[in-house]
Amino acid sequence: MERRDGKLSFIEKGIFFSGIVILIGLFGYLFYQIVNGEKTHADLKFSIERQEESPLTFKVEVTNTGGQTAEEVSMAFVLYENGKEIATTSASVTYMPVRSKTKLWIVFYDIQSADLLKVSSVSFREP
Amino acid sequence: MTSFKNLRIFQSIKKLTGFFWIMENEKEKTSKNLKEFGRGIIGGLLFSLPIIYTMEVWWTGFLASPEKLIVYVLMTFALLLGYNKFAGMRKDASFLEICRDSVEETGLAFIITFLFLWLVDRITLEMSLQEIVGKVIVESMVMAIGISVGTAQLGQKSDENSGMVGDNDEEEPDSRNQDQYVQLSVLSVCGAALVASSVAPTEEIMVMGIQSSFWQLLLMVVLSVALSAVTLYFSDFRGTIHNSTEIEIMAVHISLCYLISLLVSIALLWFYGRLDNVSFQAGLAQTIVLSIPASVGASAGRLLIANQSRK
Repeated sequence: MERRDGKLSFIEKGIFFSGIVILIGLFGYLFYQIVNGEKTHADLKFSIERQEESPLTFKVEVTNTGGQTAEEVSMAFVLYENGKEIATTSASVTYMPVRSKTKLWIVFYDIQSADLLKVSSVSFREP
Repeated sequence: MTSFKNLRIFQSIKKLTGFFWIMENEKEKTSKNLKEFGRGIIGGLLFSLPIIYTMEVWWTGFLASPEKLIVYVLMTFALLLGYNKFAGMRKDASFLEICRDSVEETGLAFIITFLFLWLVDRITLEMSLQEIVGKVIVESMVMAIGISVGTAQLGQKSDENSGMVGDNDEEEPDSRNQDQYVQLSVLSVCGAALVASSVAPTEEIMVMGIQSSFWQLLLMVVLSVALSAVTLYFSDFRGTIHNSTEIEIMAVHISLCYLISLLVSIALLWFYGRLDNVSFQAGLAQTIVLSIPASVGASAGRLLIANQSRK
């Protein structure tokens, strides 16, 4: 945004001071992150909800409450009836950044009834 | 008494005229600034849209460490200073003016990138600050260089503030001059970064690299060098050196161009995490694959973004 008389118009002043504030803010934030660098591991929390209108459809919400991104997340689920395992399924998500939330829908076919869906195992990488 | 009254009336009219003149001047300045910002934003989008639409770049936003992000911002700011010094602004611009422009362009790039990422739902307020900041930084740096290039290159020649008016020095001056080498190198780095950054984060570079045979990789190196040579010496490209017959100078220029392509490729691959946990061979193969677009950027891109006629 070149000028020849050396004076800034009010738009340029606005953009220039925004630039200064943004750069200072960014560096401040990034240095703060470096100084307080000890990050907790990724921690995935699950919430499973059965759909009333379709009892064999489950809504699974996964939230990363930890301090690091989880990569290549693989989840295995087991469906129970009267305490007995009747079906298994799995799902995967490429990345789960910090504080991110993912919704999964799991639908079982050819099954008459079931009591409970549980997460049996989770695996992920930390980048 | 009457003459005193007339004098006061005359002074009032003068003041009023001066006020209107300042207002008119300010209006004209604002209009010019808006045009420049418009050109800058278009230039920024032109270069950064491919990476804004690339999934791997969003991922880099939350995968890159704060140290990496700081290095990335500093490197880009240094490039911006270099571009503004050698092509983005008029030749007599002071260092302070160059810094001021670079800060403006960086600020504008952050604002535009943030708004664009929000528009395409890649940023939401539920996300962690770390993810938002990372994504905006990763996406906005190319935007900042694009804004600078757009402001300097997309204007009409009659627009004196664009830096496009002046003597038409179509040919690159004697490149044996030290300053000229620095200038050519800075512009080559900018050109290589602008062209290669849109493909560097993609997985295709890795796939092409590890699946290519030794002979194919060798041919890629030859092709990269040949593309630089054709662009710089044999294609009558705008701003090329037509009359240089000294084989020594040609060799230096072409080698410099390829060396810069390799360095920019390594830097981009490192930033996007493509060199993490891979063997030396896989890293080298990726660098060679990426150096093809980088060498096109370092040669043809450099000539396109270089201000051919600044004052």
